[in-house]
Amino acid sequence: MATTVVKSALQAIRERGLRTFLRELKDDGFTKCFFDGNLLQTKIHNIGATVVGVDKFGNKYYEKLGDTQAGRHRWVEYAKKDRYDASQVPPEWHGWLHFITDHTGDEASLALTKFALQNVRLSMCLKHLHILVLQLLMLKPKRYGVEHKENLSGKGNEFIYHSKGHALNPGQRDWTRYQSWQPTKAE
Amino acid sequence: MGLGLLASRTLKTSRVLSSQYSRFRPIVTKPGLQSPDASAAAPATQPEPTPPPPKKPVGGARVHFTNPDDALEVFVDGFPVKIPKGMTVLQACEIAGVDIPRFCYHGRLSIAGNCRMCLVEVEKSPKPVASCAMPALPGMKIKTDTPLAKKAREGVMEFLLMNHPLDCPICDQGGECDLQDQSMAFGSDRGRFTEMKRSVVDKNLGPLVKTVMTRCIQCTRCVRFATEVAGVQDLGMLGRGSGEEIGTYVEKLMTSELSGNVIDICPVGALTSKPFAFKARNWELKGTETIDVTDAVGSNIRIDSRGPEVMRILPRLNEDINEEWISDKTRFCYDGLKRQRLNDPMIRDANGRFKAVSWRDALAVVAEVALQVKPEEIVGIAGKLSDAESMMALKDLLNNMGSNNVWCEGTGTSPNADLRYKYLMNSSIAGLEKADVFLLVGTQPRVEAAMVNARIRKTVRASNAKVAYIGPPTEFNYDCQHLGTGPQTLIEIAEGRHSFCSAISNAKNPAIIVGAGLFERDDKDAIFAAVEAIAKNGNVIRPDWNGFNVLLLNAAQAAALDLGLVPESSNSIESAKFLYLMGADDVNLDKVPADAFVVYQGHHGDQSVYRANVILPSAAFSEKEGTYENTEGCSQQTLPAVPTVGDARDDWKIIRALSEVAGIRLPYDTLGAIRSRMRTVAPNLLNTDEIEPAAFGPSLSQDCSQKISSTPFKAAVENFYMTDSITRASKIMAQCSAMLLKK
Amino acid sequence: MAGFVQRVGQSLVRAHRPPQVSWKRCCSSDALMELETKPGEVGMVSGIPEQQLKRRVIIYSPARTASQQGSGKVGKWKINFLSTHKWENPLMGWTSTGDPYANVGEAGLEFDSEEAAKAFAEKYGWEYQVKKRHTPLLKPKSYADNFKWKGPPTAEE
Repeated sequence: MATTVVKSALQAIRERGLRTFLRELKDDGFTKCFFDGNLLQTKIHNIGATVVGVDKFGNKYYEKLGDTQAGRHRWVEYAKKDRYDASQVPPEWHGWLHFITDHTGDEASLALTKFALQNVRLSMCLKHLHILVLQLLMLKPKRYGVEHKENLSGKGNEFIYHSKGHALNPGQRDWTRYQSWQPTKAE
Repeated sequence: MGLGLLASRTLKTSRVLSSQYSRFRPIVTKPGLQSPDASAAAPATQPEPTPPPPKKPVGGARVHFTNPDDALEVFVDGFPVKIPKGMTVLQACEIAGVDIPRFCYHGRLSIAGNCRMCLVEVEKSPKPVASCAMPALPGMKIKTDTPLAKKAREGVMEFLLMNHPLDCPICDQGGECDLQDQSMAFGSDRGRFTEMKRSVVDKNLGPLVKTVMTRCIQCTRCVRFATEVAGVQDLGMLGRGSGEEIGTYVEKLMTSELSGNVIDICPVGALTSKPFAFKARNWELKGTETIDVTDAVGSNIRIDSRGPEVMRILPRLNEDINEEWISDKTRFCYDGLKRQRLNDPMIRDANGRFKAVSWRDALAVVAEVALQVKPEEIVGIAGKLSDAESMMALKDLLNNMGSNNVWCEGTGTSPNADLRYKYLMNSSIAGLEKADVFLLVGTQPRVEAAMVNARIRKTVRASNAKVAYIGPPTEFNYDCQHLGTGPQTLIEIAEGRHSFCSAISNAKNPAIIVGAGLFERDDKDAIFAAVEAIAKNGNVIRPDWNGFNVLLLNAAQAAALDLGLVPESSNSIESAKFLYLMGADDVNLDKVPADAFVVYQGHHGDQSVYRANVILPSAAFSEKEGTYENTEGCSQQTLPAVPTVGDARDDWKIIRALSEVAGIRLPYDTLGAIRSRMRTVAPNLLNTDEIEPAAFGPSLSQDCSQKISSTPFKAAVENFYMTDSITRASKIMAQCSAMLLKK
Repeated sequence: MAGFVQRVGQSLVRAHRPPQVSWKRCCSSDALMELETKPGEVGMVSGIPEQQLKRRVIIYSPARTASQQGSGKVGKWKINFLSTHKWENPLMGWTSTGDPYANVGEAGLEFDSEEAAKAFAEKYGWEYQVKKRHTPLLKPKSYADNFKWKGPPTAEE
């Protein structure tokens, strides 16, 4: 295991140069590993794992099947290496990450192949299959769905949720049930 | 410690303890009250049980015996009951206190007998009998709770629910639905229908009535209401069998002014209120019983409110005034109560813009100006929707300031309040049913007072009364002879030259209804003299029947004239320097001098606000407790249903506060005190729900020497839906006047 | 407080009493005993704040709901405490009120007769006004009216 790591590191240095390698290390969060044990463990676990997908925030989803301990075979490496939070995982990946389902968050995934395998008519063209799967995975309501936001509790009054009538809600609603007289222009 | 404090407080403050037994009153009890068991044990040894007391009629109904000797006796569930001849079995059971379930039967409509829910068992009858249609014969034994009757009800319920959609969660009638309640009470617990239910296309009946015709159970109540009570034959039943549909057949809107009543009549959610759709459930609403002020009828309504907001208005039973109906304007004006409301006192600054100020500042400014102005330049005008308390306060304030130029808008330039019969509906609205000839002078009851029109129509329908009309051409929903358009015809009838005079003299109870729009005319006295001449010739005013009626336009006119709001000079407005408008929006303010200081005290920013210098916000009719007298002289009181808006106050309280600030303090602080003050002026205003008939007749009226002009009568109300500040602010009324008025 | 009660008891014993009032009856604790109370007394000892005892109330019999024909709830008498001081809570828009009598009268307080309602209001010392009850008038109706002759036909214009 260690040899593969050293080998891939040396190869990267040879290909891209030392400076780029160090910058890549920094971007990938390896410099924070010293202070953050969780990140270090994740990085160690990443060795030998396959990247199943990347979501729109940049979180990487890994899977290591084989003789990995059950329950540790799927995990996420967050895009934000310093302030990561479990609520940064969007709903489409949440199911996969928590072993609820096998559907990953992106379209081109296991579900597609599974669906294709179950469907006897493999003669259907790929485009049809793709559309069908897209319809299956159209779990996000477009009309009223909002973008996923991480849990911003404690981050400040501008970020947390306030009810509609709260003074700190930027669009504070006036609940009075009547409308006052507004003089018309011809006064 | 607390008990002692309470005891000492009781002893100190209670005046009842000034008895002869020093400072303490022994708490005594009478021997009879001491132990109810002891008193009940004594007479328990009675030999035979007393028969159960007769049950009271359903809803406390009063029974009208046309001929007391002609009463029959029938037996309902074993109880004997005396009923007048000609009643149906259902009515007999109603008198006996048994409420029979029904869908198509309605006490004020003709009998249809098509729902079959009222089936009861009658002895010696081969099949169950439709109690709504079967006349009750003497000695009939009616049984309403036998297994046969119950099975019949379950069967009818099952059939009704077969094609009824499962709309309860989205239906507005849920919670107040006859179908729901009767299926719970009388239906079976399961259905056996497994086929497809039929559905019906929705009809467009206008901006007021929402239709979901799939829910219709074809009871035809709406058809009968439209035909009989409203007088428009818009609705009908099309098709047969399961394909029956209620509709207008052609694309027609329900333009009748009583169209909102079909919402109450429909037992299911087929016809519901469009403005109220999906707004509230009936169990979250708090009903407050008050009076409507959009016209002079004073229909009894119930305002349903949720928290601080009025959600809808429903009618309330009052046999003498509005029966169970209200006009569309009454029913749907409530959203005007939420728009264009004045909620803060405002003063117009030098730029002409209004600035919100506190009450202290506003009253100080008004008092300052009022005290600087000469007494004869102070003018007060009460509005259409003012209650009697506030008009009393206004008159008192202005009189104390030295001015007597206070009047109510709509009473004309020179109102005469000396004789009450000259401005009231003397035969009372219920008494119009006894009339057999009507002469309508310059009044269109359909738009001025829809409930009076409904009553006239009821009379015409029941007894074929003749109606003649003098005025601009209008549509009537009963047969009406159009005699003429102006005073010429009136003079002709007064002098006996017209052909209609014979109809009046041959009539047993002729009724003449004069419109209050005539108050605005200059020759008003001459016209009234002519009408009185007709009355004298036709023997209209007699001790037992007074057919001389004046149909007022506003809710405040009768009380204003009773309280004596009569101006000293008729054109005082032209020389006014201080004008106090209390809700007066329909006053012509052109003649007011440019330097006059105008105070507007009202609840809506309607028309007069734009000329005002100071605005004092007051409460609308749904927010205050006020006395209103309707056109027949019946004094009624509103109750507050919702809180006042913003910083608004009651009208009379504002005037009382103003009097205090101005130094001319009025002697009343509470509602009771101002009502005692009213009692000294017009005690009939305190006898609520009672009509005080006019005391003196035409024998006391003075002769008139004015000449009648020949200008024809014009319509007093152009737009039925927009007559006062509340209805003009209402969106629903705007929609109605755009879509439903006959062009 | 105990000393005060003792003094009250002693002065009661010493006070001049009419012969029919016995000490036993004065102190009887039978729960079923009905007492004669003067108007307002129950309110004074009930612990209700004095401000609430000065209310004006309306005694009325609610009319039948117009949208239904069932008269089951008709005939009861209620007390309307004229509680309209409600406002919208600025946070959630719910209805707030400071009036303890906001739903009393609307919710559970019902009386079988006008006298019972008046007695209740008198007991508590509220100034009341009674509204007249409007009842329907039953006139004979018959199915044959649909087929009756309604008069000669009107001349078409």
